[in-house]
Amino acid sequence: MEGTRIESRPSARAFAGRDRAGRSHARIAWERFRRHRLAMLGLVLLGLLTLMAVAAPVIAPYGPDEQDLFNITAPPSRAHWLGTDELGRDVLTRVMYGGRVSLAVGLAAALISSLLGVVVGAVAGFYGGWVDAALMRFIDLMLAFPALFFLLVLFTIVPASVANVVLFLGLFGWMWLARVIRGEILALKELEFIDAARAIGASSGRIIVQHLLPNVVAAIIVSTTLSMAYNMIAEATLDFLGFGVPPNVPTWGNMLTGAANYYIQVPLLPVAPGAVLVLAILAVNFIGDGLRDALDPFTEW
Amino acid sequence: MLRYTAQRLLGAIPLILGISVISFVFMQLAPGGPDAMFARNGRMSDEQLAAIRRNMGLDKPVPVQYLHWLKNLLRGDLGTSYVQNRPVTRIILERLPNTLILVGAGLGLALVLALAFGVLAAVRQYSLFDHAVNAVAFFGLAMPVFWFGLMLQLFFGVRLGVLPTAGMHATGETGALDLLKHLVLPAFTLGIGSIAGWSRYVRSSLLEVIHKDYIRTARAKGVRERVVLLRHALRNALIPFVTVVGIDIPLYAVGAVVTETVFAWPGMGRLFYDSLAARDYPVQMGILVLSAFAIILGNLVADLLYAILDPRIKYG
Amino acid sequence: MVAPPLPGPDGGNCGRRWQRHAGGLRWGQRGQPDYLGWGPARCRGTAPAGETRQGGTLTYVTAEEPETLNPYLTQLVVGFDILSLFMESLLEADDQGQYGPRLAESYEAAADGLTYTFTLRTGVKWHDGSDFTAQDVVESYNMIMNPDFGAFSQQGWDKITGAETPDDHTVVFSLDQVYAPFIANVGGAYIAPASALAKGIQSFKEEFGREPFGTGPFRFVEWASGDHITAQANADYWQGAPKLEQIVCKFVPNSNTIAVQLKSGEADLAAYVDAQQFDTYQAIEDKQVIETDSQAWFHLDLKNIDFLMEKPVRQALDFATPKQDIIDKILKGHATISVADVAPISWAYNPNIKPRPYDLEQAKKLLDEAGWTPGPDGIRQKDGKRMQLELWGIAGDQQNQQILQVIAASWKQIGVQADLKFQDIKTLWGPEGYQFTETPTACGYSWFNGNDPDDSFYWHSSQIPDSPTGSGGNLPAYFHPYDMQDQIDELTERGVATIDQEERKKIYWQIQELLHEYVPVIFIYWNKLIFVSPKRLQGFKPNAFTPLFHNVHEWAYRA
Repeated sequence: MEGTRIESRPSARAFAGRDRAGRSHARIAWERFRRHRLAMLGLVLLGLLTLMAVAAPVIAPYGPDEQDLFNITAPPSRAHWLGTDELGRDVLTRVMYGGRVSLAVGLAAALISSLLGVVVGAVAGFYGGWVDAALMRFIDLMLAFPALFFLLVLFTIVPASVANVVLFLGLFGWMWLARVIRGEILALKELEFIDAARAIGASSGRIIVQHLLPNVVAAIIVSTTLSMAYNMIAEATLDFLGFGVPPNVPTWGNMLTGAANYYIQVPLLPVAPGAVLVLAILAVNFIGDGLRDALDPFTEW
Repeated sequence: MLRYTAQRLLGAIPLILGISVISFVFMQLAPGGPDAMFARNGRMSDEQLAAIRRNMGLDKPVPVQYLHWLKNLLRGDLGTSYVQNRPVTRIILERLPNTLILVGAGLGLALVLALAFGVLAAVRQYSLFDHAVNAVAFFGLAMPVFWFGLMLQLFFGVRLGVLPTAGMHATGETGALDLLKHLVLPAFTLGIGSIAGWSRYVRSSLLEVIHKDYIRTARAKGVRERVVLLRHALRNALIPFVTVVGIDIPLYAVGAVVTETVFAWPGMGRLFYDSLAARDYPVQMGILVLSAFAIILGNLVADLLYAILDPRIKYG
Repeated sequence: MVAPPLPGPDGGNCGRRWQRHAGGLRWGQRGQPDYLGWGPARCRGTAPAGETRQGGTLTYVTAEEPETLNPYLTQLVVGFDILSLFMESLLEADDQGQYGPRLAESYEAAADGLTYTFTLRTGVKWHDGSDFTAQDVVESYNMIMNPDFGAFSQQGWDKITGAETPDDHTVVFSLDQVYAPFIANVGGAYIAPASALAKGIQSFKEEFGREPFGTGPFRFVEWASGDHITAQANADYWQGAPKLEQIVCKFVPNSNTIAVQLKSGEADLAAYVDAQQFDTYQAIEDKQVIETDSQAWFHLDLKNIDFLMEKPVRQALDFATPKQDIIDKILKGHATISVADVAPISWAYNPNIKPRPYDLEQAKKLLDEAGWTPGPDGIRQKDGKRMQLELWGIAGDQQNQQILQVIAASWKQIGVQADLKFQDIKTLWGPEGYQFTETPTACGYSWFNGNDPDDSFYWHSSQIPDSPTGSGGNLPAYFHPYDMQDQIDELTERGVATIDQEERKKIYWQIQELLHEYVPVIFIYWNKLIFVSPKRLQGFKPNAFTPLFHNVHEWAYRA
C-alpha cells in the first residue's frame, strides 16, 4: 500500500461523511436533544445564568463597584445574601455582573474561532491545490504554538482589555474546526449536487455558502459550544495569572482570583464565584454533549 | 517507516523556523523594544548602556540579530538571559528535569486512572460506578486548574495537614519518598483535566468496539471475557486514544505554568512565568521554541504509535 | 529608535520603587543600600535573653527568587537580603539608621568633604581562605565603574576621582565635589573578593552571580534553581561562629502557599508579608509577627498636565483621599499616614506638618472656587472639559488594587471620574507607561527611600526624563515642570552639597513643607515591614535600614 497519510485526526473524523443535519433535520435533532436529560438541565442552567447576567442592572441589590469598607469579607446576611468580598462589595451583585463578562467573553471568543475556522476550512477544502496546502501548513504552524505561552507574551505587549482577551482567545482557537470543515467540504464537493450547482453557473462563494456550509452546521454548532466552555476556563486562568481582563472588572475569574488571596482566612469567599463558574461550564458542556448526540448519533467523542 | 519519520522531521523544520520568526517579531514589538528594561533603569550611564547594547548585539539591525540568534540556536546556544546574566540553555536545562518529572507523573497518573475508570465504566455500563465516573469527569472538565490546585492545597495541606503544599523537597531532604509526597498534589492537579476527558473517551470507544462483530465472534468462539476485553476490545479501542493523548500533551505545558505557580514547583512553566514579569526575552524565546519543538515531536510520536498499533496503516 | 537616556543623576540618593508582586517586592530603581549617619557607632545586639542552643536549620520563605546573586547586578530586595548572609559592606547602619563599622574599623572624612579614608579590619578572611585587603575594595570599585560590566548603579562611586591604597588595610577615595550621600552609597555597598574579580567580567557575572562568596557569617552551599538556596555556617567568621548551622532560602511564588508553609511548619521565617495577612500569621501558634517602620511611602503620582497642574485641584484631591480609612480598613492599621517624602524614623523628618484631613466638603469648595462645577452627569467640568483622569496601578497586587478602587470611589463623590487601569510593573514604568501619554493620570505605588534624605531623584528637574526611554525619577513632570520647580531644584542641590547634618536637616524640613503645600503627588502612608519568625528564634532584629540577615550571626534557637 502506497503511503496512506493520516489526514484527519480520529476526533476530527467524528463529523466526516456522516449524517448531515441540514435544515430538514432540525426538528429531528431537537426531538433528540429534548430527550437528553443532562442537556436540558444544562440549557435551563445556562438560561438562568444568562438571565441573571442580562438583568443584573435591574435585579442586583447593589452597584457592581459599590463598597462598604466597614463591612469587608462579611458572612452572608440579610443585607448581603452571599456576603461581601475583600473590598466590601456585595458578592451576589458581582456574581451577577461577573456573568455578563465571563459568559460574553466565552461566547464571543467561540464565535470568532468558529467564524475563522469555517472560513479557513471552507476556502482550503473548496479551492484545494496550493491554497489548501498553504492554509494547512499555516494550521500546522498554529497548532505547534504553545497557545497559552503566546497569549501570555501577547498580553505583556498589548493591554489585556476585555476586547483583547476575546480577540486573542478567538485567534488561537479555530484550527481544529478548520480541519474538520475542510475534511467535510473535501468530501462534499465531489458529490453530484455540487456539480449540478456549478453547471447552472453558481459562483464559488455561492456554492460554499448556499450548498456546502448548511451541511456542516452540526460540526460548527458543536464546536462553538465546546469552545465556549474552553474559553471561559481560559479566561479565568488568564485572570488568575494576572494577564486577564483588568482586575476591577467583575468577572468570575477575577472574583475567584481576588478571593483566592483570602481563601485561608475566609474559605467561604471563593465559593460563590467558583460555583457559578463551574456550573456555567458544566451547563455549556452538557449542552454540547446533547447537541453532539442530537446532531450526530454515530459520534465517537 | 524510517522514511516517513525523516519526512515528518524535515517537515517540522519550517514550522520551527516559522515559530522562531514569530517569537522574534513579538519580542521586537514589546514596548520600547527588547532593551527597554536596561534603558529605563534611571541609574545607568550612557556609556554603560551603549556597552550593554554592544555586548548583547542589540545595536545591530533586527534581521542580523535574528540570524545571529538562529545560528547560535543550531549550536544549542539560546543566548544569554538579560536578568540572570548566564546562558539560557543552562537555565532551561536546570528546570527541564523537574518539569519532566511533574508532567511524567501527571501523565502517568492520568493514563492509569483514565484507563481504569474508562474500562470499568464501559464494562459496567449504566451502573452506579459508570454514573459516578461520568459525574466526576464532567466536574473535572469544568474546573479551572488553578482553582482545583488551590482547593487540594487547602484541604490536604491546611485542613488535614497530611501532604506538603509547595516545592519538590522538604528542607534538607533529598529522598525519593519525600519527592513522591511533594508530587502527589501537583501531579493530580495537572492530570485532572485528562483524567476526566480521557476516561470518558476510553469508555465510549470501548463501548463502540464491544458492539462490533469481531468481538461478538470472539465471544461466540468461547474466548474468555477477560481476554476478549483486554486482547481484542481494548487494543482496538486504544488506537485512536493514543492520538488523543498525543494531541493533549501540549495542554500539559499549559497546565504546568499554572500548576508550578500554585505549588511552587521549580520547573520550566514557572521559569516562563517569571521571565514574563522580568521581561527576560531570551528566556521567553528559548522556552517558546523548545515547547513548540516538544509539541511537534509529541504529535509525531503519537502518529507513529498509531501506525504501530494499527496494523492496517503502513508508511512507505 | 531608542533615544539615549540622560546621563546618570549627578546628585542624590536613589529612589527605589517598592513593588509587590504575588507577595514579593522589588526595587524598580535599585541603588546600593544607603547607610548614613555621623557620630560614633552604637553598641548593638547585646547577649540575647534566655539560654540558646548551638545549631539548627532556619527555613526562610520568600515569594521571589533573586535573578542573580551578583552584588552589583541584582535589582531585587531579596537578592540583597540573601547576599547579606555571605557578603559584607565597609560600613553598616544600625537600627537607628546611624552607620557603624563592619569591614572597615573606622573611617575619616576630610573637613572639606573631598577625601574619605577607610581603615580596614585586619584578620578577616574570605570564604576561599585568602585575606581581606584594600585591594579587594579597589578592585570592586574598578568593576563597578567598568562600563562593559554594566553595574546596576554607580551611584556615589561615580564621584570618585582617585583611589589609593597607602597600605594593605587603608583605602583613600578622593572626590571632586562634596557629596553628602557618599558614605551611604559607597560605605553600604558589598565588597567583592579580588580573586573573583580577577577572573574577568564574564566569570564575575555568571559564576560569581550563581555561587557568590564573601567574608560573611554564612558560606554559600548550593542554589537549586527555582527551589532554594542553602547556606552553611562559617565557623571561621571574624565576629565568631554563628549559632545557627544552616539557613535555607526557599522560593514560593504564591502568597497563599507561603502562608500555608508557615502554618504547617514547612517554613520558619518570612519577610515583608502583606499587612492584610497580619492576623492570619499572628494566629499561628509557634510563630511571632514582628512589625517595624519602613522608608517606603505609598503615594499617587499626579501627572503634571491639564487640570492636574492646578494647585487647588491637587489639594482638593488630597482632601478627598481617605488615607486614614485606607490604613485602618485595608491595611488593618499596619501603616503610618504620610505628609511628605521623609520617613518619621529619619533624622531629617519634619514633625510639624499635619496631614490634610479627609474632608469632602473642603475638597468640593476648592474645586468650586477653581471654577470646576458639577456637570449634568455629576462629573465636574470647566470650559466644556470634564474632570476625568486615569488611575493606574500594579496588576497582580491585590492591596494596591483595593486601595485604588477605594480612592476612585471617594473621588467620584466630589465629582471627579477616575478610570482604573492595571498594568504589570515593567509596562507601567516602561516607555509606553502612563507617564508618557497626554491623558491626565494618577498612579499609585511606593517609593523606597535610601537611608540618606537626599530626594533629588524624585523632584529635581535634571531627573525629568527627556524621552520615554530616558532616565530619571521625576516622571510626573515629564510634560511640564512643577510650579515649585525652581525652589525644589535649589533646595535639593543644597541638600547634598553640605555634610553638616544640622544644616541639611533645615533644608529637608523646608522641602517637606514645600511638598505638602504644592501636593506634586498625593502622599498616603508609610508602609510597615512585617516579619513572621519562630517564637523560639532569638536575636532576630529587623529594621528599616539594613538587609534582612544583617545580624544573622547572633540568631539562635532557644534551648
